[in-house]
Amino acid sequence: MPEAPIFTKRRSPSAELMGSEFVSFDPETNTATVRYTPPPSFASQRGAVQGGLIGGFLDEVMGTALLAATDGKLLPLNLDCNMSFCKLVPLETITATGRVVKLGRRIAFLEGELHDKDGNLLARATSTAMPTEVPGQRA
Amino acid sequence: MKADMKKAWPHAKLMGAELVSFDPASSTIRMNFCAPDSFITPRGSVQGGLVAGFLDEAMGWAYTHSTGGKQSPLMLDVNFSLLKPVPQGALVGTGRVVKAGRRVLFLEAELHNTDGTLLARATSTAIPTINPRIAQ
Repeated sequence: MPEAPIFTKRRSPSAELMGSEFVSFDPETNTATVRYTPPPSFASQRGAVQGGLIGGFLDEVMGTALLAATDGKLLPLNLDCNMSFCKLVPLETITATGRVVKLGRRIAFLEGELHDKDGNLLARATSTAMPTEVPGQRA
Repeated sequence: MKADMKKAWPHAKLMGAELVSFDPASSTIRMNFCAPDSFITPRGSVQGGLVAGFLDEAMGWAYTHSTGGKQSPLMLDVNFSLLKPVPQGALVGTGRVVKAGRRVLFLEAELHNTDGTLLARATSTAIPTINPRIAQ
């Protein structure tokens, strides 16, 4: 039986922490969909995810998109990330989509969005990153 | 205050947030953090997006302290640059209120390692809200 592609599996302590659950990847649009469940330790005094930590989900889903788009070969090393927080992110399962906007030889442009269970947009991000080999995957 | 910060909020405890000092003249806060093992990626450093957690915390506390604990920022936009991989363990954060208007705040933060190397920086646009702790 062929091994499941790397991007469908939990692959790091950070992905584990965020309750990462791969849903799908669409190669036509280079878009990955992943579900996350924020841990209680992400809660702020507002009872929602602390704003900065929302970046964790967005980074993770953008990384999944690049990894899937390159057949598991490349991960982004983020240089700059811009995030907008549209609504408080609740401590319940959220759906994230990540897309490779452009993959160059040296630079990748990525974007990500988070939605709640009713489809409301919670947060979005764009990232400028360097595509690098997956650690430990070097032949 | 140090123990209080960690006890009160799960996210502050997770990131090992501790107040070091606050300078009211420059509205600048210094904080210590400890990046937990659970933030680490296969590269062996903190996942890039989660670095924003430390930066948010430093910027947020700078504003909260500048209002004597009465107000908290609700972040609308956060832009951050990742200059170097952020290691697991001790980190130093600096947060500053660049401008506090009646309706909009401009904040900035930097994250250094313990030998003073700049690892990441951020700016944020936020709105002032009553500190949720007071509102409750």
